[in-house]
Amino acid sequence: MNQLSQAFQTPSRQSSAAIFFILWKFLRSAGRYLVPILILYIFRGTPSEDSGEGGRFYLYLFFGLGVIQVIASLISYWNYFFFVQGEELVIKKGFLNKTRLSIPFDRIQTVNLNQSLLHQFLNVFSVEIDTAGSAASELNLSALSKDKAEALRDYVLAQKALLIAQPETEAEGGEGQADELVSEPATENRLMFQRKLQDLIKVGATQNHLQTAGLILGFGLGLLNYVDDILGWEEGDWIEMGIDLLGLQSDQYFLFWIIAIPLLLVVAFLLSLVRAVIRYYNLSFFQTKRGFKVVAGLFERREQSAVHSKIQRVRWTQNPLQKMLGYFTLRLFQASSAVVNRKQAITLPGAQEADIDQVLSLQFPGDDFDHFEPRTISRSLVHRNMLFFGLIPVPILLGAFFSWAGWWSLAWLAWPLLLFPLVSRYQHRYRWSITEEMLKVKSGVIGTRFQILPLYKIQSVSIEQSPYQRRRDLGDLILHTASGDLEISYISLAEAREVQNYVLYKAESDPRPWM
Amino acid sequence: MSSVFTNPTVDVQALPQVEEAEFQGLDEKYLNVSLIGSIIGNALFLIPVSVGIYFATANGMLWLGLLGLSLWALYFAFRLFLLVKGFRKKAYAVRERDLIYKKGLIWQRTTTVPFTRIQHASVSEGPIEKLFGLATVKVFTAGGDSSDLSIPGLPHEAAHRMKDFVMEKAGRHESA
Repeated sequence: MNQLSQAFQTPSRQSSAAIFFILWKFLRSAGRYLVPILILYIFRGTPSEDSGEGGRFYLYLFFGLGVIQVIASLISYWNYFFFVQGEELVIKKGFLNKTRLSIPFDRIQTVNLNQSLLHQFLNVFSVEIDTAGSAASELNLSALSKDKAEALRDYVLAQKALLIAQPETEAEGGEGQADELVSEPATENRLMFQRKLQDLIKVGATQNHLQTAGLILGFGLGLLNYVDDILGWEEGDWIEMGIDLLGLQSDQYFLFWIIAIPLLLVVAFLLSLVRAVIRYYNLSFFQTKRGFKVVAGLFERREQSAVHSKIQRVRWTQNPLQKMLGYFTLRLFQASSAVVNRKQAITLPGAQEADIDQVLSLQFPGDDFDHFEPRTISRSLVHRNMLFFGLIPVPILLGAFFSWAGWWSLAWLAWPLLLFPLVSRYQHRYRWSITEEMLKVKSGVIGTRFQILPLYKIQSVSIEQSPYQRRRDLGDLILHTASGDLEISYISLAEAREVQNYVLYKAESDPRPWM
Repeated sequence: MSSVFTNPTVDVQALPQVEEAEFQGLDEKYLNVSLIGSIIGNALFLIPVSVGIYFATANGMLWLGLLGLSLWALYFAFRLFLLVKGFRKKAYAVRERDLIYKKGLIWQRTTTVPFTRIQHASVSEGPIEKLFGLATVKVFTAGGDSSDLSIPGLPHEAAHRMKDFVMEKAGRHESA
């Protein structure tokens, strides 16, 4: 360790590969502006007359900017140093405008090593140092050699552990006290699950394709709108172009949609597949000394860690496609400030029931999950939802659509009938239960979603009552946690109060820290 | 470790009940603070309303102007009604291990924050509150906005005392 600390005391530069990443960042941001211009060129086919002289000018301009950027990248690389000073990690950067960033070791939450495709080619890692605060206080080193990156991570975490251990030596064993140490040296990790390519194809194939199709449609229409403006198309021109493309008669709108919609679903399916493979490529789920760790990704190998004590809530979901294969998607939610929320949930796709049991028994040792006594929610929820979302909107929609859709707008009268089975099924399938230690909720209209929350981890409890609920002695119970709220709506007020008082008792008497 | 709720190691009925805590109403002067705040807020709202009325009247649609004005007046009256009636519903309680605040005339909400979950607390004084010698105590947890508590209408001194008390409780439990 001494040798290591010596190595980091003196300011050092990143690997020279960092120059590529500075350039790459520039190219990516430049690309965002270039894409619309490129689209314009492609759609116009031949360049118009006026681009002769002007075109050359832009070429020179781009070239000049490129040269300046290369020089700027070199300067910025040359002036970027990192080192350890006292109990802080320091970064010094800038040529004219000098900046000095320092992070005390005990504030560091996680140290993640990532490798994108470009990193893999250049054989370097990026180091991401996460602090307890907002995203703004993160620190990134874009390129370090493998040895140096790992040495830096181990050194920083060891220093942090030392700092935390010192003031709390009187605490027994230090288990769960020095709990913020996240990334462990690789040797102590036990591989629990791995996802091979064929697993990922199944994971991709069982995604929510309707949702993806909706996203594509939204994105596509947005893009078309944009192209419309540039090329001066009339609204709807693209439908006629599509009809041409499919070799249909110009009045076969109906047939166009019959072909286009399945086509869209096929594209959505393929996209889900590709996305699953890129995101979860060679996914490895480890058990570490104090929690879990996931490493995955094709172009970018992301490493995410979750410590047992930081995990507040566990959720697993299953849609009908996944049900056929017996798959769930398992997510572990960690305490976080809202800003970094998305990054703080770790996901295990394609999890089978046995996998989930294994994770649960590690996360909540000693708890028995078979003795849940399911409770239901009130049927009044169906009545309320039908009134709010089924009946009240109908006259409004009728009025809004009548002016241009004529008598067709009467089709909205069928809306409550379509909605009723869904609303009813939601209430009918909803189950929640509470044990001495846990709250568990099972819900879902088409798919199924399970949630588990250890009671002592709650931050606060609320009970809400609308006038409608008051007349029926019902209420909503809301448990606030450091990774979001969990709400149980429309249960009897007596039940809500009983759970509230019990949960408060747990939170106030359990000696375990919530994080 | 037994996990069956029907065979608990504690008697759930014997647990302290949030509903039976001794609730304290807010300082009477706070009603004035919120009334003045509401009047100022609604007066600002009157500016766009009156511009609308002016144009409606100028275009010979006096009825539209009058309709707009009466709608605004109705809304304002409703807000004042809610404020006055709702004031009595606002109350807080300090227990040995937590802080409770309840409010709401139409939609009622009771939130309880255990002292062990409090990250920090603050006292804030708005300009109108200051005029009446009142302050608001805010209590922050790690659970985000909906989980935090804010108790308005406390006399200046009491607010600071409560903040200090809460912080001391939070600190003591943390190290225990």
